[in-house]
Amino acid sequence: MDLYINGISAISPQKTFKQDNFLTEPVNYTDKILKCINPDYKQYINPRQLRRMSNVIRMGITTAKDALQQAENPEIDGIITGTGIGCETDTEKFLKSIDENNESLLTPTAFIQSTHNTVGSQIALMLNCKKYNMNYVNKVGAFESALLDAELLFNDGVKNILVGGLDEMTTKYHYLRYLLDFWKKETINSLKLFDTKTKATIAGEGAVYALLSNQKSKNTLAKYIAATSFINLDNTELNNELNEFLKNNNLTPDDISVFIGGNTGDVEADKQIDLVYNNNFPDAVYVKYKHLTGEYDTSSAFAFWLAANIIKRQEIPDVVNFSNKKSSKIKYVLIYNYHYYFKNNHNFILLSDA
Amino acid sequence: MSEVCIVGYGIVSALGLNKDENLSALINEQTGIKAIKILNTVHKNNFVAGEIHKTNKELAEIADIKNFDEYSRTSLLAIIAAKEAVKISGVNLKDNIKTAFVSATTVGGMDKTELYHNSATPQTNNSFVISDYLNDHTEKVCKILGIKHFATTISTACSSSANAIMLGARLIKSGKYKRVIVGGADALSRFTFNGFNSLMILDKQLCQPFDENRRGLNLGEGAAYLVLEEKNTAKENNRTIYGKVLSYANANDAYHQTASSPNGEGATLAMTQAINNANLRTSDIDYINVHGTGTPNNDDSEGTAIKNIFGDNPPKFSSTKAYTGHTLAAAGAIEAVFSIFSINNGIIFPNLNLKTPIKKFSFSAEKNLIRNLEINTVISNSFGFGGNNTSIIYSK
Repeated sequence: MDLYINGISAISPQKTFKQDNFLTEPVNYTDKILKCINPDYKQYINPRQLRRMSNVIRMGITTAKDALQQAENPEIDGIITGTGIGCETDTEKFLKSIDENNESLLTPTAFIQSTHNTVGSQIALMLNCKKYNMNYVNKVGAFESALLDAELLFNDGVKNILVGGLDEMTTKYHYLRYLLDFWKKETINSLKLFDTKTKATIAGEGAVYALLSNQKSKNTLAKYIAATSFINLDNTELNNELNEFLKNNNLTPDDISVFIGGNTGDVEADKQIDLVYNNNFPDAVYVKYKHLTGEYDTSSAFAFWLAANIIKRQEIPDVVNFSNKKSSKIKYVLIYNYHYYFKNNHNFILLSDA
Repeated sequence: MSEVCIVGYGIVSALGLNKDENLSALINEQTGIKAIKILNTVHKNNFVAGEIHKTNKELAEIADIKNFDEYSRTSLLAIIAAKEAVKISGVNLKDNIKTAFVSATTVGGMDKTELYHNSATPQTNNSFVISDYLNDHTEKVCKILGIKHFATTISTACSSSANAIMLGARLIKSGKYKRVIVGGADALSRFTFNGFNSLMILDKQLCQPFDENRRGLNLGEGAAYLVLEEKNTAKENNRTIYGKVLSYANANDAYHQTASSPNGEGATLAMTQAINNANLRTSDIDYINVHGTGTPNNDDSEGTAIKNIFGDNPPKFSSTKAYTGHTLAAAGAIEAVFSIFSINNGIIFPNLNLKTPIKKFSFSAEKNLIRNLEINTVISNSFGFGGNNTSIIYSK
């Protein structure tokens, strides 16, 4: 079944939200955490409600609304969200208050908003959408799970689904993982992430929502074809699964014009992504994106936004192009992301032109 | 059209550490809600809960895990229940059938996280940080069982494992997988306890679902998993079929972040769609295992939904949460197992502690254990924060 991306919106550490330019002014960071460039949320969310919302909720609602607007506000049949750490700010707030107040006289707001499906349900509230509403928390495979679920829904006959992937990064969350060598110890320029020859990576955050439809429209950016997610496979098995995934979609590796890798700048972990690229797609353009976003669980949603725009505009921004190639006609794009620290979760997303 | 067969199940709850103990407690009308012994909270002596009176070390022994302090309590519960499900099914996960895994949780390894989160000496044992992730228990179970391929984790508050079961069934019906293991787990934590207490919906006494004078819910903990197989695969492998996942539906209240709409809209939509998807009439339903937490809000909303759909003579229904407490993400899967018990044994388990049925409804929940019934079709409801309402229909 052909599914069309009729609207897609990204809030990220780059100028990606409601921009005509496509990554022409990349932003460099030397900070430990690449934080999102926040739009004026008051334009999307009532100030009274806005006050109580943590950033991840704001980002989610705003990108959802923007994606819908781009698609000219169709009636939606469902909202599916993927998130790695959900409403982390609220979770930390409530945890802190438990300890500070010795479990007494606690206000419930942070607890209520800490449930991982808060963003999806807030969007449902805003849109008064009583339809299917689901939330995946499978770390690096969360967004792919959301896409897979959407595919199943479309097979049952829905017309329009809002699908998103988002995560916020907090200081505390970052710090606790800093102690476990998740992040680079040295200060680096984010745009030069892939020049570092050290282990670990840099932290980031972001939100993307897309409007998937079973009908092409004048707003269509690209076609979403399929997604898949694997755990615990060795490289031989992974290669077999990847080829079967392409075959099931009537493709061979040669058909892929652009390969978007979830390289993190971790010199060891990136070898895996290079391996998959070199073994299967050596003639494709090699695109990387985490030097723009930092690493977070649902960053492949940003890659999805990137892919959709590359296809629509038929151009690959210089800042993401890591091979000496250009592609003449960009038809099929494959995204590959895997967890650099846990090294066990491999995810693929396939898109094409419409 | 493929049918989704339940070929195995496993469960651990305040009623017992395996399916036999759970069934026995249900039949003997023995609640699992009691004093809090394991969870370290200042509220310990003021509340009751469906707590499993085993330390993590003891749970690890049952789960056959050596390095217990690297596992969150949620993971340990999940491992115990998942292992039982696979054992009962007789499935060899090394066979040539690709198996997917769909789990669910609300707070994951919070029992571990909250121990170190605000500590002045931050924990550098990475098991704490790793169990933070909601899919940590999913990965641990998959590692132990040897599951490769697709595994994912759902978190939609109290409807989580019902949604996991629904996704598993949909994966089978779509032909993508012939076998999916589905369920969920949640351990008690100070985070959850204090969260519900701050909402003032906890009952200090034994909860009384669907009672006019109900005061709130009791929390519980546990895990349950089902092994689902596509019918032909189940038959080819001579599996015992304990029941089927006949249909399912998920609808959103879109009313409020935590409260359910007073007219029971989300619940009405979920149950109605599940019944329609199964091509059933309302009169075909033999029993409803209600969400029935015992909060003034839920039972009112759910009761209204029942009236909307079934009128004044609904099928027999009961809440089993007065047995287990509200096990949050695990509730859908635990109650799926109880639904299978009902179908296979022809028994309806009582809605414990019911003294005065809710006055505004002309019907009431079942007070008594009823045996020797022909139970072919059961609706199981799980309604979560964020207005997430799921109804699943199980059949013989």
